[in-house]
Order: sequence, then structure tokens, then C-alpha cells
Amino acid sequence: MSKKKRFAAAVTLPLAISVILAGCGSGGNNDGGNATATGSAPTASGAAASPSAEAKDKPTLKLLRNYMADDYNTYPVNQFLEEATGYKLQNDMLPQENPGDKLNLIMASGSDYDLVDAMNKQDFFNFAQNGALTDLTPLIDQYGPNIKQAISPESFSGVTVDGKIYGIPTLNVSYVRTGLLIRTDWLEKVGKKMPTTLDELVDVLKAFKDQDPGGNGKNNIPMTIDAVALLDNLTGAYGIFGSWTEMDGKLVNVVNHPGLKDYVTFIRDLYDQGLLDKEFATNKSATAAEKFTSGRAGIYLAGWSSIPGYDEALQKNVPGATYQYIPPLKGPGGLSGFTEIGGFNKITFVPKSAKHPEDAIKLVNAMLDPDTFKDLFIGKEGETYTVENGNYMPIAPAFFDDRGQSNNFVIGMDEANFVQYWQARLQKSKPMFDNYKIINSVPQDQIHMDPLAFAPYLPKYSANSVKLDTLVNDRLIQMIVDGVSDKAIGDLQKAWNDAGGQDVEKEVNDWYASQQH
Amino acid sequence: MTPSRSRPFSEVVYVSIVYAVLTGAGILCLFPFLNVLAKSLSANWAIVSGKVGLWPIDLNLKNIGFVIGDDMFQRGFLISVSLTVVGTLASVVMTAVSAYPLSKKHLPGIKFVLLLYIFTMLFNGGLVPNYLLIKNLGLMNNLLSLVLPALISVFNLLLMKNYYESLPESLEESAKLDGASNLRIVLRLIIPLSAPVFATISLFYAVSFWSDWFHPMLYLNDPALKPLQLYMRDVVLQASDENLLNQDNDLLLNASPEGIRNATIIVSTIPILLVYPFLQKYFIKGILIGSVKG
Amino acid sequence: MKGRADWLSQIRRNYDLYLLLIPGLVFLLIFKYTPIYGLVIAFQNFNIFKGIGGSEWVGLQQFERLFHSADFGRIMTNTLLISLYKIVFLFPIPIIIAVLLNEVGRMGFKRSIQTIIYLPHFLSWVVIAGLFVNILSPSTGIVNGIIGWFGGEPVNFFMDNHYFRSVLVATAGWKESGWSAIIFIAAIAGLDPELYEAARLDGASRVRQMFHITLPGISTTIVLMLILRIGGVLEAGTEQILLLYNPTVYHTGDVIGTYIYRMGLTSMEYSFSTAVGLFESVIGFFLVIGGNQLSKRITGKSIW
Repeated sequence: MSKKKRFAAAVTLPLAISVILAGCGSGGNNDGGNATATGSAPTASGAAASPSAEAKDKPTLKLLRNYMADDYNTYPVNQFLEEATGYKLQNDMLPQENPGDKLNLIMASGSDYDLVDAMNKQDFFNFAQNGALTDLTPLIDQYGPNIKQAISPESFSGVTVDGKIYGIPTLNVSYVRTGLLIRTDWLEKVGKKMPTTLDELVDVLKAFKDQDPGGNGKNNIPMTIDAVALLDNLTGAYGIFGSWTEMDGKLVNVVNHPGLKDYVTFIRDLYDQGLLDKEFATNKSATAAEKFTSGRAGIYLAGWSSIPGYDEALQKNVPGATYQYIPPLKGPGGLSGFTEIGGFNKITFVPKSAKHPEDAIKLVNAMLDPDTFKDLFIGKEGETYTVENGNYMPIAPAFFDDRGQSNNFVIGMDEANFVQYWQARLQKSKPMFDNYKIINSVPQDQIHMDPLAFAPYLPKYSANSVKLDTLVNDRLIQMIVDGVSDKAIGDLQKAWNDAGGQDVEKEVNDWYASQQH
Repeated sequence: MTPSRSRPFSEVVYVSIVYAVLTGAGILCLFPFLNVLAKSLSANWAIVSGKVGLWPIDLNLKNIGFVIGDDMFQRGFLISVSLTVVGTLASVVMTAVSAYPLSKKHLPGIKFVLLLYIFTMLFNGGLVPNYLLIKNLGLMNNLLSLVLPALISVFNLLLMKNYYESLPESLEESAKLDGASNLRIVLRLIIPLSAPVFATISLFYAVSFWSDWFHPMLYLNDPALKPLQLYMRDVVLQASDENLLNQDNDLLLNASPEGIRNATIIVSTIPILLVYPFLQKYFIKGILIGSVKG
Repeated sequence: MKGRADWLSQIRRNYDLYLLLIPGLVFLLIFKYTPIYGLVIAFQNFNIFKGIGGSEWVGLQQFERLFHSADFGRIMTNTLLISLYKIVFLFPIPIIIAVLLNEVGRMGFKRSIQTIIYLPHFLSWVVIAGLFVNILSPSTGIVNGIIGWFGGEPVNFFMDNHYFRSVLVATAGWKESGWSAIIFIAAIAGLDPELYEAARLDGASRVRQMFHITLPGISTTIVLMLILRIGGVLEAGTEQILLLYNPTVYHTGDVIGTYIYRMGLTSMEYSFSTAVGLFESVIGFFLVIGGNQLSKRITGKSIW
């Protein structure tokens, strides 16, 4: 028996290894052109539309892309791009987890990619400063008329280092991302109107608690949230907008914000009175969602992108349930509003070691031709979308199958038009679209853009902001559970300063002051 | 083992306790898996709202069918199976060969070699030099980058060496007196006697090759080479808490529904679960020792 | 001189055994010892673009950063306590399982149980964390349901510093015990059945056989596993804790791994993470060596 096993192993091993080698090794460093495409992307051949004559002298371009769930090389957009631009594209992909780590390794060990996506400004500037990137300024002047047309000078200023353009910036849609969903049928049952102030909100929560409009008995939860302490809409009522709020021409971090203590005390009181989920600190996002969609919670802090899934579940569990985002609530000082996020989605650059820098820019230029961009982003009218009253409406499922992931393919946006195109994907579900509109069409003075969204590279801020935000969130959760005191706030401020907050504060304010003049 | 004679009462009690404890442990361990299985067969709405316990709600095979039909899944499956088969065979041979001389502690220099191995269990150069090594060997984007550095797990090597040491020395002694060479002893005596430990380390190697997502993430850039576990991890993490805090809502808009996520877990885990029952017949005690002695 | 001649003759007589060492040594050289130069970046402020040659040397600064961090005392205590609890309470469980399975005569039952108890190993902590949050929920969880049924007050296991470490130990035990038992099951399978036969003829009870044949028979495996386990004492289960803890239980649950993760020190802080790893390795190495010596003296068994 064992002898047989050994024999089998001896015979099959080299065989199997050679199969793996032949089948999967993508010849690493061979010069683009002919060899690479065949070896490593066997399934991409499905896209083999007859290459036009000019494609013959165009090289295969190697791109390093951000993570997406599908394979770039077999996704319909890739085929479209190859046909529209005449370039064969070989897309490799960064991992979903810690893409920056991997990107750093690739860049430091010498890559042969022609175009690389960086999700993180910090990485991009780090590469630029270490001399790892190609100066694109002359290339864009020479080969990039569409690029100049599509991307604003303001956007370019965010990717300029020492007067040289090192990247193609891709803008994000700016929007309010989360809000408080409230069960409007519960409101009706307890005979209350949609709250407009914090006091009314507390009143409603008390009614939810006492009258149990959902009939949940001891499992009734007036309001649930994930394990986060800064809740959009409620922070606005205390004048806190995101981590950094502009006050009198200065940027103030939430830990030093004069409204912080009142805000945490307010949430602490909700928790203390049983109006806020007792278990919120242990909630995973899925746990909190369960409580809302099974009809046990009256208010839930949610991002609009999750609404389609929630809506289906809630309707199945509680037929006829209705809900919507609460409009901005007024705080004791009359303040209110939402925090808007935005900035660059990614920055695409050409490594110094790229084999085809000119062709890379020609490709980007071709992609930013207004018609090509539109087709790349949302497809063809009548096939993947229609236009109704100026709104772009998706045709399901073609739109979501063929263009659902198109945002990952984009390199630079047609900045004048992309927001409008992009809204087509919101129409995937009507409740999502309607609720997106509720929190995104409040008066402009109640929407506060993150003041650092378009900031250039601020090394201390970039290196520390995630850590500092985690620290603040952690300490605030502890206060909500254990109680708020001046000492606890003081400890938070001290811990924040010690963890680098003080330096960051100086850095962002130096930059902000320089902007004013 | 033959319950022919009537047992004393104390033994009946003892055996009942053994069965009860093991059954209890079994139930505890089975329940979460059943939960995931039930979710993979349920409708999305029921999972989102936490209704699914041990039994599917709105029973359907759509999720499973969707995953199995996905070409990323199919490719990942083939890659993982070949990786596991080739990697396990190569590693088991390599480990069995390397462990045998290490079991002869009295030979000069052997302890030093053993310490060389043990040292690497605790010390390694870290991410960057390992990455550069693979890159310089020309193994980037090549599945061999997952097999070669994993050929010997020192843990498995020690298990193997330990087992060799536990074999009755008298057997080898008598074979040596008969004039058998070391090689002959290994082939005729040691290997046939080592079925349980071969089965164990085969299982361990198979599971580690199958479950590895970290090295594929590091050494493979081509999405077409993604093994199944990395594919599964990506699907599971798509809507994890960390990503919800991430700005990119487009990623969330494209995330798989819960049912599909659970179905992915099930179909990418079941294949490796089947390895153990298959190997279990080698865990039966001592049949082989008897045969050799006889 | 005589010793040397003896050496040479031993080597000459067993040259074929020495040949067998070669593939393993080549493997070690290429894949384990070549990259080990990377450890020196623990003493640098490593810049990946400049490489080791171009990076600045900072001596022990990275280590000081770890030892002088505000919460070092707390995270060190937590790490050691959680690890110790896990060793004390969880190390014996797989052995007990293996021994009990050995007492089972029905093959079908034995195999089914073996297969079932190793299932949890294959579910990732991401999945398991979600399940346990539900199981242990004070309002809807089944465990608190049972506590309530006996008239007890519900316990918020994940937010109570008295219980959190127990939760960590229990969930880790549940996930890995069945898997770890495989090693001992295999070791028992390797025992000589004649020993049991002889004992039975002597009229030894099954409990007696267990203590006098089974356990001594697998004692070398137990020693091996225990020594290796002790070497990993500073890894208290980072992934598990990251997914199970929350700010209200940092006091008892925050360990080295979770702390440096939260402080953003894992990603691209190459020098710092290497320094932390090196610290853990050195401690682990001495524990393994010490454990081996100790075991040699007490039980006469050792890895080398």
C-alpha cells in the first residue's frame, strides 16, 4: 500500500509540477507585446474580438488595479476598452486587505507595470518623493488633450509635487453617506411627528420604548447602532462635522470641539435610559442590521448603500413597514447638519520603471474622450441605460452585469458629467435612491464637506489619522457605557495629543491657514 | 475491544460517560456549521434579519448554484485542488525523508541539524526579505511560490521524527543484524509502520495548502490565479465592519448578498473536510505493527 | 582522539542517513536562512526604497517604542494571562478527547465524532465572531436564555471585564480542540495493541489501561506539543481577539498583537513590526530551550 503510494508520488510529482509551471507561470519580465498575454490570462481569450490593424503595433499594457470581486480581464468593460482604445490590456489586481502593503513591495522591488492605481494618497506621495514615478507633465501636454479637458486644474493640483504632475486623479462622488433610518409606521402608531430637534427625538424614543409599537416585548430596541460613537446627524446638532470641523477659520478636531462633552453626555443619557441599544458596543454591523430588519429596532444608523438588502428583509418580516432617513435634527444651540465626504477615489500613476509610459498616457487620453468615457462608465443608451427626465436609469440586469463595476476601470473622471452618470447605479433600488436624496438634498448650509477631503499630502495627518480616529471612537464608547466626566474628556485629549494628535493639529492648521490667503 | 464477555457495572457506567461526553462535544461543534449551511440554503432576507438558525428559511439551492456556476470559483477550485494535491505529495515525501535521520539522535551532528530546524520555527526574516526572495527566484505570479517555501513544516517534521523515535528499537536492531541497509529498513520497515503519522501529516499539509490565503495574496497578482480560499476570504470580507467604514460605497453596492457569502463558505470548505474521513482508516491502531511482527 | 575516530566511523557507517539530510538542508538554506538577514531591520528605521544598506540605524529605538508605549504593562499582563489560561485550560482538552475516543468501540460513532469535532477549525474567526455575538447576547442569546431559566441575571459576556477572558478561552477551545486532538489520536493509533492485550489478560480495568498504557504511550507527543505551545506564549490569539473585543473590554482583552494593530503599527512599519516579532521570537526561543531542558530533567523526554 505505502509502496504504491510512494511510487505514485514519484511519478506524478514532476508531472504535476510541470503542468503547473506550463499552465500558470506568467513569464514575469518578458517585454509586453506578444508573450505575456497568452500565458497568464487564459480566459481573457473570450474577449478576442478581431484586433484592428493598428492594434498590431500597439503594445500590451500592464495595469495594476484596485481590488474588485470580479476578474478585470474577463469583465465586459475590459473588452470594450480594448476595442475602443486598440490596446491589449493585462490587468493585475491588488488584494482587498492592506493593498498599500503589497503596492509598496511591488514598487520597491521594481515593477514593470505601465499604470498603477493607488487608493491612498500617502502611498502615492511616498512613491513620488522616493523618485519611483514618471513625471507626467510633458506626456500629458503632448498626448493628453482629453485628459486636460476632463480633469480640472484643482484636481491636478492635488497630485502635483514640486510643480510636476505625477498622477491622474480620479474624483469621488461627494455625498452624505450615513443617516438615521426611522420606522415611520412606528411614528404613526405612537402618534408622533417626524422629529426635528433632539428633544423631539428623545420624546419619540421614549414613546418607542414605552409603547412598544413593534410588539417586541422585552426585545424592543428604540434605537440601535454599530459600535461607533460619532453618529451622523446627531453630531451635527452639536456643530461637530466629522473628525475636523472648521471654526473661526481654524480646523478643530472632535476631541477639542466645545460641543463634544454635551454631545457624548446626550448619547450617554440615551444609553442610560435604555433608549439606545444596551449591546451596541458589541454589535457587528450585521447584528445591528438584524435588529432593524427583523423589526425590533425603531431607529438605526445606516449607510444608504445597504438599504436594498435591508428593505427586502424588513418587508418580508414586517409587511407594510415604512421607514426613511431623519432630516437634520436641531440641537440645543440651534445647530444642525450632515457631514459630506469626498475627495479622490484613487490616483493612477506611471512607475519610473514602466515599459510604455507614452502609451499609458495615450490609453488614459483615449479613455477620457467624452463618448468613450460615457460608454465605459454606463454603457450604451437603450442597452444598459435609458434617460428619463434628465435622469439616467439603469436597465437591469444588463447595466449591473456589464457596468456595475465600471468605476474600478475608470482612470480619471469626466469631471463635468460623472456624478450624473453615476446616479444611475443608485436606481438599483427605489428606496435607496429616495433615501439618498433625503440626506443629500438638504440645504447647502446644512451639508459640511470634510475640510481635508482635497488637502494635499500632509505626512503626519496621513500617517496618524486612522489611529487617532480609532482612539477617539474607542474612548467615546467607553464614556457612553461608563459615564462622561471632565476627567474622561481630559484623558481623551491627553491620549490624543500623546498619540501624535497635537502635531497633526498643527500640520493641518498650517496648511489650512495657507489656503486662506 | 470485543464486547463478548459480560461487563462489570462500573465499566458500563464508564462507557456511558465516555459516550455522553463525546456526543455533547460533537453537538457543540456541529451546531455553528449547521448554521452556516442553513444560511447558504436560505433566502437573503431571512439571513439579513437573523432568522436562520439550524434550519433554512425559504429553502433554495440558488445561492449554491450561483457560486458553483461562477467562473472565478471554478478556476479557484481547480487551482486549489491541484495545489493541494501536488503540495501535499511533495511535502510528505520531503518531510518523511528529512525526519528519519533526525530520529537517530545519537549520531554525531544530528542534534545540531535539529536545532537548525527548530530555530526557524521561531525566527524568520519577515515579509520584505521573503518577498524579495520569491521575486529573485522568478516565482512571482507562479503557483510554485506557494509550494516550494512550504515543502517542510518544522512542526510536521517534529511529529514525524517523534513518531519514528517511538517505534520499537528492537525491530530495527534485528533487521540490522540480518544485514539490511538503512535504506532497506526505511522502505520495508519504517514506512509500513508509519501509516498513522503519514495520515496525520498528509492531513495537516493538505489543510495548510488548501487554507493558505496569505501567500497567494502576497505572491500572485494575476486574478486568474486566485486560489479558492483567497476568493472565499474576499467574498466574506466584502461587507465586513472595516469595509463599512471605508468610503467606497461602490464596493458595497457590488458586495455579494449574505446567502451567497455563506454558500461560498460551504462550497469552499466541504472539499477539504472530505479528506479526513478518507484518511481515518489509517488511524486504526497497530494492525500494521502486528503484521510486521508476524 | 578515540571519540573522533568513533565519530568518523559512525558517519561512514551511516553515510546514507546523512545523504537523506541534504534536501532538507538545501531547503532550509534557501527558504529559511537566506531571508533571515531581514531581522536586522529591527535595529533600523527601514525605508523599503533605500533598502537595508541605505536605511538609518537606530539601535534599540524600535524596542523602546514598544516597551515605553503608554499601555505596555497592561498589554503584557493581558497577553501572558490569556496565553497562560489558554495553556492551562485548553492544552489538556485534545488529549482527553483523544483518550476518550480510544475508549469507544463503535467505529461508526468514533469516526463521526472525530470528523464533527474538527469542523469548527475550518470556520474563520470572522464567521465565528458573528455567531458568538448572537449566542452570548444578553437579550436574545441562548446562553443567557439558559442562565435566565435557572433564575440568574443575564450576563453581557462581551462587555464585562470579569468574563471576557473566559469567553476568549472558551471560544478558542471550542474552535481548535477537535483539530488539535488529531495529533494525539494518531499517536494513540501508533501504540502496540499487544500492550493492551497483555493488560487485559492481567485483569486491568479500562481506566487502569488508560493511565498505564495510553497516557505513557503518548507522553513524548504530549511533551513535544507542550514545549512548542509554550514557545508561542506571546501570541495570545490576535486575530481572535481583534474580532471579539470592543472598547469596553480593552482593560482585560487588549494584547500585544491587538494593540499594535490598533495603533496602526502593523502596516508598513517594517522596522517596528520586525522588532516586535523579534522580541516575541527571543522570548519564545528561550522558553522552548528551557522547556526542553526542564522536561529532560523531569520526565526524561525531550525534543532534542
